[in-house]
Amino acid sequence: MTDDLLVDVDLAQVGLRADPGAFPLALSEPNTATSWNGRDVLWLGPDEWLVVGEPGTEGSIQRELEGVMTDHHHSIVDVSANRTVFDLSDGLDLLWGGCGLDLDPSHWRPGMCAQTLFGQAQVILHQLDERTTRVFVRPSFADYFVERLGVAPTEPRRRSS
Amino acid sequence: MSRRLDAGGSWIDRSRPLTFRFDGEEYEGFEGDTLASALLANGAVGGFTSPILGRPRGVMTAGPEEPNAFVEVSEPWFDPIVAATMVELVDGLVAEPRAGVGRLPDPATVSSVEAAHGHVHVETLVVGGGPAGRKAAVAAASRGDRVILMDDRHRIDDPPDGVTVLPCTTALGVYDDGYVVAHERSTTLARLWHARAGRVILATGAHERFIAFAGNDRPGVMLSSAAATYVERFGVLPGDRAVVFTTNDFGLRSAAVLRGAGADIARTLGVGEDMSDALDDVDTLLVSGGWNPNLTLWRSIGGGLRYDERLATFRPNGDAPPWLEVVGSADGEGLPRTEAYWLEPDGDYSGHFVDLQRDQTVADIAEALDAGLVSVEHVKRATYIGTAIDQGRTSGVLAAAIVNQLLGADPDAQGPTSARPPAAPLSYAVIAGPDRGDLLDPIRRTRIHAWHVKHGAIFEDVGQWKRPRYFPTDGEEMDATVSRECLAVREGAGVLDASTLGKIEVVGPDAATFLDRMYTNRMSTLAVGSIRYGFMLGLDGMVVDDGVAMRLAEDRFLVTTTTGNAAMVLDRFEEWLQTEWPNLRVYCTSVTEQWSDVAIAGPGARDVLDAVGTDVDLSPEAFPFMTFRDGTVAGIPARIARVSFTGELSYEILVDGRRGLELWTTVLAAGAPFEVAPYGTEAMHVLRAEKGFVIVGQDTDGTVTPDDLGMGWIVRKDDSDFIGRRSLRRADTGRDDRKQLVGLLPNELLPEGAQLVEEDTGRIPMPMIGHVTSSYLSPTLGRPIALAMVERGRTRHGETVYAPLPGGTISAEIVPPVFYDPEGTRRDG
Repeated sequence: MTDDLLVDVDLAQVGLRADPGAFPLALSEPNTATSWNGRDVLWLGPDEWLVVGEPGTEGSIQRELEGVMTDHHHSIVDVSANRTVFDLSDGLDLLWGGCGLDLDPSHWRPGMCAQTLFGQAQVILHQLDERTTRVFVRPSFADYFVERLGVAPTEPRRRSS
Repeated sequence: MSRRLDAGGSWIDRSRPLTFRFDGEEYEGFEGDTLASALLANGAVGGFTSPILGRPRGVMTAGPEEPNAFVEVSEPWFDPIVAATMVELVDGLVAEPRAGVGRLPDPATVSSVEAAHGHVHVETLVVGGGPAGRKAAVAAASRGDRVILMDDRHRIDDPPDGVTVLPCTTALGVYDDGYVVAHERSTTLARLWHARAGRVILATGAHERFIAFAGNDRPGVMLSSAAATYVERFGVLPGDRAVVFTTNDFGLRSAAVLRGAGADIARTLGVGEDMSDALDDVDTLLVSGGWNPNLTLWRSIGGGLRYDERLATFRPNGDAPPWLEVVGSADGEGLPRTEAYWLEPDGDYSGHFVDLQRDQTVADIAEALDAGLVSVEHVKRATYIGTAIDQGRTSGVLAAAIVNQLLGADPDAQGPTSARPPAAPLSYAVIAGPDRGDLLDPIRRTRIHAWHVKHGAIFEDVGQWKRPRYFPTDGEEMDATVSRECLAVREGAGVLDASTLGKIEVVGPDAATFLDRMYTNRMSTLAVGSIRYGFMLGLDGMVVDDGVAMRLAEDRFLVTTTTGNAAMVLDRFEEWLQTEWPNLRVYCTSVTEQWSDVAIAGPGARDVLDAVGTDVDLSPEAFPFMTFRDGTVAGIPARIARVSFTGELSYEILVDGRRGLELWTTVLAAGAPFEVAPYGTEAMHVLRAEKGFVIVGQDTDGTVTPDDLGMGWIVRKDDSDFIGRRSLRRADTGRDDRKQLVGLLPNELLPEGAQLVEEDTGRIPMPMIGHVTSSYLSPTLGRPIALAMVERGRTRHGETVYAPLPGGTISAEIVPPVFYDPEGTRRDG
């Protein structure tokens, strides 16, 4: 267990809901994150995505989404503060203590994402690379999540990239 | 006297001696022993007795089917009761015999094992590490499957490569589509596995069958296979001189094993031979009544049975779902042909034991049948056969066979009783795992929580949230604190952390239509920038939630819910949108935690907000009640809402959740000259009760309509539909003798929940006409007040009601529920 096991990350998060197929990208691949305009677009459901960008970009993300969604029924909501984000290093073997998904690296691969439960907290998991799992959790559940995970986060730190 | 053989014992490591204590005595065993094998090796199995009759008992088996040899383990972990045959021997183990009933000592005095939970996915999961299970595991692994092979013994022989091998792991239950819950016991960790498998293979083996004869419970009676197991795996000879009773060839094999280890086999008995004096001149009686496939798991998932005459027992009927398979001896494969014989005929069956752990005999079964019972399920419930810790592993099939025989029915007439998970007992601590203490139910905290803690807040639970109930200064009592906080709001200004309120953004061209259907009042006529209070009803017309809707744009609303109902309301929205009105173009997004919500309330609220600094014009003309404005507060982008739950001028300031604490401290600092005080939920409750504002879930209980609350005005009367509308037209919801919300002016503080009567006759029963829903000492009025639901309450203003209580009767005058500022003059400051 290292100090950097769990790192707080500040990000722009925008919730997008629209009819399947309305989004002008092939985003219908379930439980997969796609890149769009330099943002991660996380598939959360057949009509629900989470668009994630660098901190402070929620305004421009919303404008860009509005631009491409004009002709479709949609909902775009800033949810940047609605979830706390942790980047968890080498932590899949901690997550399996509270998450019913198949997180075996042979099946849970970089680029995959899922809305699920960890213990009794709703979480979104996004596997960034072989080692890093990004965990989105409601801020009110953050203490619970960390305690249930059994590790303490390091001081908040901005991601350099 | 040591019964350990000089050689042999495939499971033990003679180079690793271990010391343990049993029943106060110190003994030695070897690594690889079970407690039972180590006790047998030491000739120390005299301590076991039966739970009801107190008869001496010995070790009868070598596995999980053991009905006699139960122990409490106190070191190095604690287990209140477990079969000695299933305890892996470790150095320093301390155990005592337990007569079938465990006891729970003070938790502080026992060593607990950390209990973890783990989720795992595999393509193939095999239960049972015997030859058939290993073969199935190897085959699956060679196909490239991820494979788990689990066994409840502490050792799996020849563990296959490429397979996750879990010894000491009992499959507790198999559920639909390959979900298996299993309990792994190690000396340092207890773990509950939640395994999802593409295919489940039950290789659970078979248990040798016990039969009923006089004195079959005496120490020295042992299943023949168990005796052989003690020789072969543990190098222990259970007895020097034995008689073998067998209905099949396997018993002869066991006898040969013992003979090979040096035991004298005095006699071999078969069906029909007198067994009454079998133990007279020997120390061991080996019994082999045939074999029963171990089908606890198969039965628990609804697997059917068929009778096999060759085996004289039941085996799986072959009707398995595609993901489930039974293999090996669990499927009857390789089991010896046996004569059908389970009951030695006798004139007196009171010594023919069937369930040794329940001390139940054939006579007890006969008594149940004499009482008219004919089903094995009923016999089980009359005798408790099969309900003990061993779950009837030795008695289940036997009891069914004896019932059939005593009823004169064919052997296949009735099989054993049904089985349910868990297949073996486990402690609640393992089921709870990490989810205990503070993790039992998540504790939710706002972003301002740390400030509340630092400033001495006393918290209360609201749903999963911790909300500050009041903020006592040094040594201040609760009543004094609440009074001070209330008066601060009434006379100056108070600040409340309202961040826990549920918030949902409702977006789309049909958002207004949708909200019209979800709430009783009309949201579609709301102007952009305005706010409307709303009631949500159940289909039965009863109030289930309240909140406000802010119209952010023509097609966009921000709706609030009560703190505890946020998830319920969102679920309701989604359910109706997805299942009833998929044609409505509306999307809902939970934004509860996107926003921190700081409410400033009191006649000084405007001055405080001015001092904090905002670019919003706060004059009542520019910013009237029930509107909101977007701007900045203390330089933070903010949405300010003029709503009031206190009756006073109030601003609820919503900011990006991450800046909530910054806003809170800024408001308190800027408000210091105005003596602004943080207040908690208790003062909030008092202040709203003074104004007669109801709390859904406190003043309502799921049987209350808007009209019952005197809020019929909130229900629109036109023809447009909303949830609950039809029910409000039922005769019952229009009864004039329904309970209605009233205020009470009692002569002393009423307890909430107190029942009210018209007349205190002193004679019980008295007809009750209502009950107290909220009760407080009102600092503003300087007297106790209460809200109550009273039959025909609105017609009773001015009347007196009584609350007969153990300490005496409290009387109260019924008044309108608005105690303070009924004209609403204070909301503009």
